[in-house]
Amino acid sequence: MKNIWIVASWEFITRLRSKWFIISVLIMPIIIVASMFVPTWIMTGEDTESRIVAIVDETGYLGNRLDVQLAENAHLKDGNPKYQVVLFQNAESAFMKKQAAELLDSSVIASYLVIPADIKDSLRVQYYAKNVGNFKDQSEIANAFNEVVSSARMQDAGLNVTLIRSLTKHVDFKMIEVEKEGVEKEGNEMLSYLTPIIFVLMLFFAIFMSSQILLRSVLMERTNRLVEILLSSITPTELMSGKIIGLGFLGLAQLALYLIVGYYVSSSQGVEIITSANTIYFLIYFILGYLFYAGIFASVGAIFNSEQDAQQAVSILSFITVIPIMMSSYVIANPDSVVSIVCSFIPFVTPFFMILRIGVETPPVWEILSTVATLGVFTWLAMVGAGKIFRVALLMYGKRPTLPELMQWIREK
Amino acid sequence: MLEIRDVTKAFNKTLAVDSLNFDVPQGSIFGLLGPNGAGKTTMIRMIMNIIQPDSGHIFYNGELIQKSRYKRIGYLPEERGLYQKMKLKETIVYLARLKGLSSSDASKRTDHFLERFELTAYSQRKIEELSKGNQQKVQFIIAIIHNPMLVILDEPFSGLDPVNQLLLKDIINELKQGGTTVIFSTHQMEQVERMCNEICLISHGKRILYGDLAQIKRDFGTQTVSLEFTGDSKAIENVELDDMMITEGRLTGVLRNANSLNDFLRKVMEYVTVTGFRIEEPTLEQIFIKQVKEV
Repeated sequence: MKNIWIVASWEFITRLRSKWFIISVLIMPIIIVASMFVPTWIMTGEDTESRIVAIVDETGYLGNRLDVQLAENAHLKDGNPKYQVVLFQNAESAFMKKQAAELLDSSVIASYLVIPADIKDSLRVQYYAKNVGNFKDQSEIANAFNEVVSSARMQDAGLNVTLIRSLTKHVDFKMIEVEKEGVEKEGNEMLSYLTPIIFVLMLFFAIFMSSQILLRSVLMERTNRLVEILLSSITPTELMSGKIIGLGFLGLAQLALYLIVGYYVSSSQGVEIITSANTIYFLIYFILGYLFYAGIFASVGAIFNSEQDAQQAVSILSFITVIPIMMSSYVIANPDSVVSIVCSFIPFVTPFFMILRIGVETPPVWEILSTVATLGVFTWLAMVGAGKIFRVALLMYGKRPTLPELMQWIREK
Repeated sequence: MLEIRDVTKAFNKTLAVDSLNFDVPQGSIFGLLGPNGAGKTTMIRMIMNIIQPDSGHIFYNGELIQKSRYKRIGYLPEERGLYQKMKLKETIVYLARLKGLSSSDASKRTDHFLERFELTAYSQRKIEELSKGNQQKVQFIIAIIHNPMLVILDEPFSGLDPVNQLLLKDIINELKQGGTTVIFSTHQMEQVERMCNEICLISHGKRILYGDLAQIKRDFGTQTVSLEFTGDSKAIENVELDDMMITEGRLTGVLRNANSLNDFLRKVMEYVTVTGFRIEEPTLEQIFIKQVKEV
């Protein structure tokens, strides 16, 4: 037992100290925080710089109205109009377009809009920009122009534009998320969508960073034959247990850091995504998921003779484990669907599916208990199998064991 | 005393060690010899209790080798490996603690040995910064730091310069004087001749020579003779010697039978005048090659 703790603390401390571990652990929360807030900042943040846009107006009057509409509705942070409009009117269409295109080409203007003479019938305009991915500008200009055209068409039909506008005002939809009966909070779609994804990424990185380190650590000791010195002092079981425990604590430390960072970042934004219940689920699914994968990775480390071969073998696992991340949108939308529930019982992905679903809403207790029990059984099997493979394979060099040989070792007492 | 009794080990139906028997007396320096692939490493791993024999038993001071014995045995494997990215001292301390030393004890003893091996200046350096020879000294320290009763050294001198070989030899002799048993596995026969009292030579997993080194040499039955003479060399061309070489006034060769020395001399003196005569023991290398070839 003492030896297990000596190995565990060695693995834990030496990795915790390593520069690469610290860097990769710190980069993760930054990516998470960035993925959480940067898109929101970009989408909702106010602009500080004005843009020059050109309007090639073949109608001779709608361009002026669009100019006014934009000036009234689109402002910079300091209150000034966001768009400065260069208006081309009353000239030959081809000439005006050519002028606008030249301005765009020399980056004097950010974009230009061509309003055809028959716009009120065709309802078609063309918008030219170097960066068509700027959805915000595009939608602002499109909205403003829609107003202008629909107003003009209403006027043509002899309708009272002011009256119609006040009659067709939008209904304000406020989202209320009901956690349970009587407990309500204001909903935030973005947050409800991001929370489960952040959860699953945190778990994913905590489990796989430690498992990968475990794999490399076993391989390194095996390929440089340090294992002979180690096994002259301790048993293979002690060595494997020590490594798995030490690196498990490393993963736990990493997860704890993420949870703390997540807690503070989310509470600074006035929301609570890391609750004590969630923390407990995280711990349970991390420990079981990590031990399950640690068993597999330790065996792979003991069987293979080179890092390349071993990485190739575990890359198949990586494909499987990316599935929950790929399916996250589906699971978030349908946390209680048959597919989500069935996937929660596949041991390779149980922790990730369950954490995704917990991020949306806590599944029924029976599901939590039964997935934990199922995963627990498979984790136990993985540990027992790994222990046997580890003991036999650690000192075998040269030929890689075949699958039937592996099965025979596992069956041997 | 270490006793090996009928130990057999097979890997995939290939016998690596075949009903091996030998004893290693307490406080001796014992040579475990054999050509490549003879089964030495497998035997050593079984003594270390890293792998289990298929049949037979290994006793240490009358008890079966068990896990508890781990702490009293030191091992320098032939394949050298260390944590390249770790610092020298912390690595030794870690491995010493796995041998059962307390961390303060491990630290103290590490300092002592680093000084003894002139490595103190490197104690906070990464192991990858050390030369190959220095890394080997580190491994040697790891093998003996816990003051073991039995040390197994697999090719301890390979890659060391003569000065460090001497240092190592001194320390091995000190260990012996302190009552430690040393098992020494090597291909370097001169080292064995200089250091070992007893040897066991194995080939294809079987014991082919075993016992007191001097006795083995005597029993080997052949002796190298070297003779200086004056007279007609053609007259002595027919004497019975193996590997005979006659040059001007000088004859060398291996006597087939130690008891035939008198016959040989009498015969030679009938034809020529002997001016000088020397008889040499067979070298261990000669014995090794002859025995291994015969098997």
